[in-house]
Amino acid sequence: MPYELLKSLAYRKVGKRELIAVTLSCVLTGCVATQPTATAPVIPGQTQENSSSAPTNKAPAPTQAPSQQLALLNSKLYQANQALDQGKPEKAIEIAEQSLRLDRSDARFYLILSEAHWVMGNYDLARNFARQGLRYVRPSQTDIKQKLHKFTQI
Amino acid sequence: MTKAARKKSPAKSRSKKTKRSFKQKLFRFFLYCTFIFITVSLIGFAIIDYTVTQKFDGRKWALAARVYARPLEIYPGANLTIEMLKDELSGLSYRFVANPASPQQAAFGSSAAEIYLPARKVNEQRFEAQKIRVEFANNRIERVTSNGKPLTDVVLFSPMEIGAIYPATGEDRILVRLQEIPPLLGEALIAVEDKNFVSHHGISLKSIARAILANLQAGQLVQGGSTITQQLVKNLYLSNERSLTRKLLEAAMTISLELHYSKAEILETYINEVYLGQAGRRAIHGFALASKFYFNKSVDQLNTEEIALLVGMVKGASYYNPKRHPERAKNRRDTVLTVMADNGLIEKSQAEQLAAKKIALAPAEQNQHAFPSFIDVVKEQLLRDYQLEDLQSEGLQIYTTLAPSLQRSVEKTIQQKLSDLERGYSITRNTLQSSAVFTAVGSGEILAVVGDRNTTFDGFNRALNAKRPIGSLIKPAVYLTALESRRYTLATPLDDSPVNIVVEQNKTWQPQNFDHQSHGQVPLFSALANSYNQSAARLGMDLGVDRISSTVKRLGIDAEIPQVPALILGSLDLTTYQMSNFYHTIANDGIYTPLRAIRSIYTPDGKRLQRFGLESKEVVASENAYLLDFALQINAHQGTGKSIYNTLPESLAVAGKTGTTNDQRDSWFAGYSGDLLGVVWVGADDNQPLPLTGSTGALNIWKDVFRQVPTRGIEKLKPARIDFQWVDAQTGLISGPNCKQALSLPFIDGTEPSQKARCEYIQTPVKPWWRRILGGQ
Repeated sequence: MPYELLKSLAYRKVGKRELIAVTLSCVLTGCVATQPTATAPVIPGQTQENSSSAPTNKAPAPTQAPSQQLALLNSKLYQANQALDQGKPEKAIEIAEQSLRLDRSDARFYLILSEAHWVMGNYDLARNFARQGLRYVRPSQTDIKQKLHKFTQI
Repeated sequence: MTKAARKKSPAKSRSKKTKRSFKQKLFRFFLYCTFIFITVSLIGFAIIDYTVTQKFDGRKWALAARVYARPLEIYPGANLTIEMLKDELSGLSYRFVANPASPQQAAFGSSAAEIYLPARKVNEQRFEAQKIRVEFANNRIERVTSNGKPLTDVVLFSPMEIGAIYPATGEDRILVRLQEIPPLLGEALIAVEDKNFVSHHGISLKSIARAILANLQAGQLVQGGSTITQQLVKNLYLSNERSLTRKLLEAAMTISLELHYSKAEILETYINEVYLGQAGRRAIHGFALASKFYFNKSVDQLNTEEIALLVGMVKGASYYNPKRHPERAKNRRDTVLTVMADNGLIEKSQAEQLAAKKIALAPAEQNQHAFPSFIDVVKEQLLRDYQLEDLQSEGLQIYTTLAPSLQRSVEKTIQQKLSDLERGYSITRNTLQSSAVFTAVGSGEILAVVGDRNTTFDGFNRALNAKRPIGSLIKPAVYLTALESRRYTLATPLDDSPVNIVVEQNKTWQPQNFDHQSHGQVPLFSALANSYNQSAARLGMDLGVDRISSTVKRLGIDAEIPQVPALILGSLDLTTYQMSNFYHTIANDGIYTPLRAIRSIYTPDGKRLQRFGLESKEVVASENAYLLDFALQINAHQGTGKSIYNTLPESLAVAGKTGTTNDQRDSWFAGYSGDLLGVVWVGADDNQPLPLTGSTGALNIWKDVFRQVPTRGIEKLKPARIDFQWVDAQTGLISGPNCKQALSLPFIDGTEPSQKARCEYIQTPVKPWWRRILGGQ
């Protein structure tokens, strides 16, 4: 039963206080969730010395997303959950898609997509987004991992 | 009474009777005629009346579908340089000032911009006018504030109009309500075109008499006697034919129109119908579109002299065209200003003052038809769900995914680089052609499309329609099939010695490497990075052509794939757009998401008709997607794509693959960062051999675009079942960090080599990229 299932999977809503606390902690400590996992290749035959010769017309190196963006994503998550609460899954999907344009590896928004599509009866899409979300779950996001996993199995 | 008299009497009586009967007959004849005339007239009028009301009550015009770019989104962390923002605002007709004091104005400093946004409705949301400050750092938006406070939501701009799908008639118009028209425009129009409009019943005898007199005095046709209603009837219902029948029809229709509709309805329709110019095949109708076309303003923003100019053009839009005949148009405008003053609409002194002004027109529309290649992609997506007739008539509003600043960067780069390549390689000028598709990784939104080096040419779109052999661009599918089989790892040595494959009886296929050398045993990752053909052909034959074909389809190619050995080396003709689908799946961690050029479609009254949402389908297991991405990153660092890091910083992780076809007829490059994918083709339309490879041709364009556009590096989360292991580069056997020729490669648990290689100890081992950057951790 989709609704019962959804109820059992219901994502814990982020309260306003919690939102401020999360944002503040992210600002102060930097959110580990956005740290990349180093996976770039070893370059055989290239030594430390010869790798330091930097060309001149290079583009600037990318920097970490500013803390204001993290606050924005938390705010978007709050809005998306509110939309789900109000029975507006289409709205939640739009917010989640917009947020994934900001950061496509934020597993929380794949969970929103799964929940919203499930409510709308798009079960295949709900499962697919859950599978995709699982690829981006950080080790610390056990709660989200569990919920996404449930969606993949139904 | 005599007999004779008696005899005469009946004759007289007969004659009288005959006379009476003739008169009666004549009378009856006239009676019948009148009756028939009235009946026919009534039936005729009823038909005319029906025709008039049917059209007037229904949809009067076919309305063009309007196409918009994606709304610009401003938020901290957005990949946008200050130059790109300025370019976007310029496209949105913002005025650049020192201190923005009113909406649609912006001020730019070296690292910050202040923007005054007007009130707007975007994505069904209404936003009040707001002034924001955008600060930049490292080619990204660092902070967005309003009144000194950080904004907590994304700031959305109205999207830029980039084109339209016009009705077959070529007529274009923007509908406007009478209440949206400045009163002065309506009054000036009546004063100039039909002074008695409010009082007459469609046909004005006074106007006709005045016109005859004026024409006689002038000795030529200088004034028409048609009222506004008559003109509307002519434009809306009749052809340009001049005949008595047409005149009668016009009169009947005019009366019918006046009988059924108010003066306000007639004037509103006239204001939307009237022809006001031509732009190529596109006919400019109505004051709303004309004010946008000539002044780049909405109709309610027109000033007095602009109103006078447009009203003056009603008399002859071609003759008084201000773009082609500015002097003539100015004289006509001044005449209208005088009429306005004579009718008390403006002061005489004001009319004189305004008449001294030159005509000031907006520069030619820059965005309309500026991106024909992208519009082609939009049309193709639309035609899957809509009839062309509906697109040309329903006035739909189509919101697309185009990123105008990126599109312009790609266009400029292609134009510049093709000229450079022609000069550098002594290729005849204008021989080279190119196509490119740039896509947002993850959302699958198409951000930019180029289908011709002449980017405004609305003709053959190579990105969509030029099917070219893809060459080595196919190899990721071959190597992915190998990794998925679990019989191969990135370290598995492959035989790159000469290969001879029997394809038919007495027919063999002997592919060779680009450098015509054999490289002996090479690890799989190196064979892919260096794009060796001999090892790839041997590997492909071992895996089976059918399995490779199935992988190609799984990665997003919806096309007939020939089941021949040459498929392994890319003997498959596909378009740049199709290859973007293929590489998007790889860039998107093995998740297939159909590429999209449209976000949503709205009706003319702002109701959403359709939304094209994100779709997702897992087609490659996360572990295999991770391994393939790793191999393609190696290619960017040390393989055929290594020149990338002459231009891009080494800290920016990107991945990609070059492609060169037989006799170097096609030069390809497909590569991606964490959020942007670009597929570029360079070649010649006559298919001539060129002195270019994937690296020297298409890659040059790709890396220059990536140099200009801020982007994030690839940041893959390592799947749980993946572990890094030191292996010997030659043998692929287990090694250690201090062993010569050792390298650290990812393996799926259980696939690591079990045997140890001989270790030649070295003091200063090669460090992985991330260790070098993070200081030898």
